[in-house]
Amino acid sequence: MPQQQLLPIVAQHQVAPEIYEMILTAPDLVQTAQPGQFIDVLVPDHPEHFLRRPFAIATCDAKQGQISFTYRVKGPGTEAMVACQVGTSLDVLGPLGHGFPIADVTPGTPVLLVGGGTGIPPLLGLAQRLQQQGAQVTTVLGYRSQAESFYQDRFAKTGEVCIASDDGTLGFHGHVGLLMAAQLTERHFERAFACGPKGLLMAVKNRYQAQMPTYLSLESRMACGIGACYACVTPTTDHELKKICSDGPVFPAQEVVL
Amino acid sequence: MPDVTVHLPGLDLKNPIMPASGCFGFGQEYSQFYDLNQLGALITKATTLKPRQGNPTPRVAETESGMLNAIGLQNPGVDHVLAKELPWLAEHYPELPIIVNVAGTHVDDYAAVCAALKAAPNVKAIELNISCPNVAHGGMEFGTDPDSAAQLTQACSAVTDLPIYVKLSPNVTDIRPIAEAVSRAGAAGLSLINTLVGERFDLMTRQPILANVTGGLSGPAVKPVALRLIQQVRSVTDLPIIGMGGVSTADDALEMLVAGADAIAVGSANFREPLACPNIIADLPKRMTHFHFENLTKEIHWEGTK
Repeated sequence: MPQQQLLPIVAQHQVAPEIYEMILTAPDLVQTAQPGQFIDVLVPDHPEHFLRRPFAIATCDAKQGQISFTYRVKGPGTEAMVACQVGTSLDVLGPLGHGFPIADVTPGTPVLLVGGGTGIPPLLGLAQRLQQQGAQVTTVLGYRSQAESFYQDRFAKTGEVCIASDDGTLGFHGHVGLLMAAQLTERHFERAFACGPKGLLMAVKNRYQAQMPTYLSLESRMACGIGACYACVTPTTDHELKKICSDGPVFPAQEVVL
Repeated sequence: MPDVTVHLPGLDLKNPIMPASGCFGFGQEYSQFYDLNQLGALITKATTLKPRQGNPTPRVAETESGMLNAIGLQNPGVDHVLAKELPWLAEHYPELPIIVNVAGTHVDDYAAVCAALKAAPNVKAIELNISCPNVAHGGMEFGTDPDSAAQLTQACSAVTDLPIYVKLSPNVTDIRPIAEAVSRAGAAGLSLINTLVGERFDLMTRQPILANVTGGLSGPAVKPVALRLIQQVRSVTDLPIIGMGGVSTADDALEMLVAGADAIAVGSANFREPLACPNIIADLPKRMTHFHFENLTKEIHWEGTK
């Protein structure tokens, strides 16, 4: 059940150029939030930024009672969020949507996570949770460049990490689709999860959906975040429309048309 | 305590506040956040004869103190609304008056939806959507021509005993002849304003943000326009007006009532603040006392429009 809460900002720091991580005190949210769910955040003190902004939950720290999310500065709204001070609070709706289905992942199961850009943060919480469940986690991360990379070390603590960069300054030279084709074709996985740009999702869908349960986290411009406004729909393979905010944002790859 | 009740054709409201069409689905989503029995009434998402898929995405774009939308009347169709959505509301909120927003492309399908709604006892009124700016046919083409608007109003009134509130478009040179025409054609009330047509562009791609190119502007940015149009319509008709357009607070609601409205719909404010409606309802008596309003009858309309 989503709640509206004022959540204190514990910390905010830059993790890459134009990419920031915000940590919030959220003792209720950490109890219920699942990897892949999101929060809808009001930009404080700026009523001209009228709509809430949806951000995927990156990590959930049950012991500390804290959640984190990571965002890219894209316009005046996110610029204003960079200016938010520790100790002030954010008006947050959440947890929203349906996350990655992992309850039935058994110890020893080899799983593949594929993320790119700001699609990477929600996979960190997923990787941590899967590791706790004893899964054998392999993560493929795609960045524009080394300068714009982040979180590799944190993923390294959850399992194997393969890295690609568009300009070749870090790891494999090329996008993650090419990396998967070059390095992972012989590997056996039993479940795949992806979050990132459309090209990345297409690559994961095309490569894995026929072989194993494959789940994609979709992104969209949203207005309400809870399924009331019908703004963020995605076409499905059976010619219907699903709401990314409330039916997703995570969908079985075979269900959606990208 | 000031009296916040409002009595309109078909609608005895315990307060004048209702969520606006398209901003509240069919109620289920917001029922996660509060008891919908607090509402004066509820206006549903636009309902058409057959299911509609709506427009391609992106369908929304933020604007300064507002937003554009071009959903394109996506809805499951009147059969599904009668079978699932309205019974759900009746089961959970039996006392809540429901106003169904009816949309279409031709006189016949509008009338068919109006006729079908007889089957739902919790529907107390129809809001006739002749002002959707986001579809190629129907909607606004009825709402921008007095004769077409009157014809449609008459055809729908003929097939239902429910009071019909005609939702007017602000995208016209003069709204008054349209208000007068639908009034003569049998409208029980009016509902205004629908959204104002706007556009936004992405500088990186140099393309429109909305797939539909144009969308309807709503939010606090449109409130002064809504006030002007409500006041103008009030100057030519005594029909009850459900006023809407940028209302987020009890003061906004009172300002709209002074301009000439008789009840208030709250639209995109729900997206920003899910508790927008109950917050306004809770604040209304306090703000009425502050501004010395004893009730919300016609007496509070600005004397310039009487």
